[in-house]
Amino acid sequence: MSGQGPAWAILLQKVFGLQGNYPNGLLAFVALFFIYLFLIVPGAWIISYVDRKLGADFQARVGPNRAGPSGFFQPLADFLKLMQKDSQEKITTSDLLWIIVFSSALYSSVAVIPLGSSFLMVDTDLSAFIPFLSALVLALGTMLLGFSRPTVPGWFGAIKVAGQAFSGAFPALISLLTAGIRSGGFRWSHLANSQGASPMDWAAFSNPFQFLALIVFMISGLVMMCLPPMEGVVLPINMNGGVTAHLYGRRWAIFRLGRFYASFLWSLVASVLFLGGWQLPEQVNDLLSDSLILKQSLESILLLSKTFIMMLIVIWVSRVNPRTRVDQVTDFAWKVLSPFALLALVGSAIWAGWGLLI
Amino acid sequence: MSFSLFGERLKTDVTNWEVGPYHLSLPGPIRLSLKLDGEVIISGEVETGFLHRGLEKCFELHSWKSAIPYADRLDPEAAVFGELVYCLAVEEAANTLVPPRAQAIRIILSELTRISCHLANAVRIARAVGAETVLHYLLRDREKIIDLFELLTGARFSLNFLRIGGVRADVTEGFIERVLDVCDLIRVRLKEYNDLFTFNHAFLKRTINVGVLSPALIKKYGMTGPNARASGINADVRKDRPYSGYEILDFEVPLGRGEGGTLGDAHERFLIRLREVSQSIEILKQVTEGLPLGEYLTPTEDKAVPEGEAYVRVESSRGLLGCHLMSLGGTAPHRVQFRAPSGFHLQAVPELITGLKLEDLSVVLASLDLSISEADR
Amino acid sequence: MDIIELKKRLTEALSEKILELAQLGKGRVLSVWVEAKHINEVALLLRNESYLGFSVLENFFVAQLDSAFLLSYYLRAPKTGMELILRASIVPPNPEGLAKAPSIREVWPMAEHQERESAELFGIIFYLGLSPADKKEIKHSFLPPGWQGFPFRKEYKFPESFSGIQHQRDGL
Repeated sequence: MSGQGPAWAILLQKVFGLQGNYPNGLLAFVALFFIYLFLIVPGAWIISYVDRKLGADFQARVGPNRAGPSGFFQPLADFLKLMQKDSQEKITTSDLLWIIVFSSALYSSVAVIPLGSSFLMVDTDLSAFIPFLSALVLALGTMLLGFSRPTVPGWFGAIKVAGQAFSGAFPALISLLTAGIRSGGFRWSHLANSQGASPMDWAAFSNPFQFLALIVFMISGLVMMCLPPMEGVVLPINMNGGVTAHLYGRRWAIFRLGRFYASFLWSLVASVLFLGGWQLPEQVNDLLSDSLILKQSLESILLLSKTFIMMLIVIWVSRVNPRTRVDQVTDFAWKVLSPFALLALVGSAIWAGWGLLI
Repeated sequence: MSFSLFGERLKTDVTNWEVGPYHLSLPGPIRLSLKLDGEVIISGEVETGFLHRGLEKCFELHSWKSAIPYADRLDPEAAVFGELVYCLAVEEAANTLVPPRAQAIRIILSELTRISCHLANAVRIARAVGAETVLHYLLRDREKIIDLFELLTGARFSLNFLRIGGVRADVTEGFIERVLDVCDLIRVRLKEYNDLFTFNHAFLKRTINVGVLSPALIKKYGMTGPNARASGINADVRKDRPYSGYEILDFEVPLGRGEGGTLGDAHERFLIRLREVSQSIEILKQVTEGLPLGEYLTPTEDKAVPEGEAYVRVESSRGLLGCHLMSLGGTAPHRVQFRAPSGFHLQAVPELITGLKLEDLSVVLASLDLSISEADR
Repeated sequence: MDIIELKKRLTEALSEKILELAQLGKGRVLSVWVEAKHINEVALLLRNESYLGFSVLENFFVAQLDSAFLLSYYLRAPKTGMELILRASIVPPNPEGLAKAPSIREVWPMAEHQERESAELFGIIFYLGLSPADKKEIKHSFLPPGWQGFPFRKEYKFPESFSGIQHQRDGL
């Protein structure tokens, strides 16, 4: 029945044409499944394909062109191949440990993803922090991946990953706080409603400190989760072998999917915090005020487009540039990103509280 | 399942680590035994010999002419230099004259090989640093040069083209024009590489002040070639003891200047090689403009070389390549010995990598332009 | 400095140690024959005397002539630009035995790897100090461990098999 339960439950019931009172838990399960199957997996497919084709174009190559029209089914072919391969050794406790921690970091935050004005399954006062925490747990999982191998690349790589994660977490957190200062809270709905549809109303362009916070947020996210172009520590070409050098087959698929998800989550949160989220223009909102599903879909499409554009910018920069050493990355995070993050925080606070000060 | 995660204790003191003989980040089959204190390398030892094929013995089993393909295989990437140094040594021992046209063709092949090898070295450095884009461009342009080899000699890498007293065949029609086209193309591309990669901030961070070869280290281990010139030591066989027609050519030998970093760091070596490529283009233009007419081979008909010895040197893309030849008047060489520059460079590696961070190791090894097949023969 | 002056200086410095002075090759490079046991002394003299100054060893060459090994050190003096070849010959006690020669790796560190290579492939022990120690084994780095014989010797016969692997195929 309409009007009962949280907005997302109502939406879900509308989508599937369900009548009657279903327990929220069951609906949540269905929702998560829905998001995973229709959002995460196709998103990974599309981003992987675009990454490879775009990267090939930069490098004067063709890219995938055999699996399907213009190689569109290459990610599927990759997935099928990876599922068939795995290490012949028996899986150890340490392997299980990193797989569980890694996967739980990712998929525990699927529920928190904001996808529209009504599709917010977790809309609490601290909901914006939860993706950040899951990114930290992701770093922990990568560190455990390194520790699962009793070799020099494993140990040293693990410590390096942990060091890099800490150095990236601090500016990320500070820039997250900066976004909250402007919107007055960390609820997804607050963050979105404090912005408008046109770029002039986005948080990033409302004052220079917020713009600075956006830049710092994106870069420190890359540093924290060891995503390209800050991925020197996990690359097998390095002498230390990288923490992932021994992975192939199913475990490598887990790691790759995890990396896509980390990048996706971070770009999504950045879009909601700084780039206007899912806000549609006023006129469109009025037009669609009675058709919930259409409004929701348009909002989601807008949000996901912004997310994918952010991801593409990162892919572009990472394909063309060399990688820096891990201690150079952490130096950069502590000595460049952190001061700018603090500057953005203080500046935003003064800007917001100017009215009280004068 | 095994409970292995907390069974071992995390090593926090000096760790021993052996890398090799096969590893992504090594220049070839060598084994490095490293002592690590966290990220920093305290000491290292290099073990070579994995690519020993007994090449020098093979020369003694074949006649003078049919040993030339073995000289190709001294350094397969830069095959011409091996052939050239062997043929020059035999020609000196047998007192055979080489016609000017053949000398010019030899210079063309040498300089093209030099460009191709320097581009390949740039690819290895780019790969060590993680720059995927520029290495595809470099390889694409290197293909044009290798196509030229195929046009002239029929083979891409192991050319088997030089003969004692000249070269095997004359230049084919259209070869000279294509050489000039490739020169123009590479000149344009050099600018592209500079825009994209050479002064890229991340690349500079990875290579400035990294792997500094001091002049004392160079003199101690007898290093030559671009590695030495990047540290300011001016020695080039083409200028000091010209051979095969280099004496009439006008070109510069790039020297390290230490701008933007330390003299003799990895970035300087990279820059030197790019500058040498542009100098090679100059040489190619001069030689192709004034290509002498005449014969391309002094016929020797595989005759015996008189008793005696000869030692000649050429400037290969890696350094001073020497060949010491001993003949007892027979139909086959009595002893051929190559002085390969990479063997001397490898000797400096243990001292060079002390104090380096582990992640810099592959960059430094790539910047030295080592050829393990030459070092082990 | 030219060849004549170099000859004079060498004769002064080395006097009785010189067995023969010759000139080699098209460039007429001066070559000095000494007895094998004096190699180290002569090497130090050549490097340290200020008017000689042969501090660069460019190439170390070993060849077998009849039953003796010819050792040839190609030297260069950066300051004067002169070149010199130092030569000696050693004889192994029997065709399968190890020959002994003084090592010059302390005088010219750049030659160490060439000495090691010749040691392994020709079967020569390069000893430091005044007299050869009782070294009977040469560490194998180019040859597989356990290889018998010295491949670069003229009388070397390539083995039929090694570690159970036949080197010839039947019927060929």
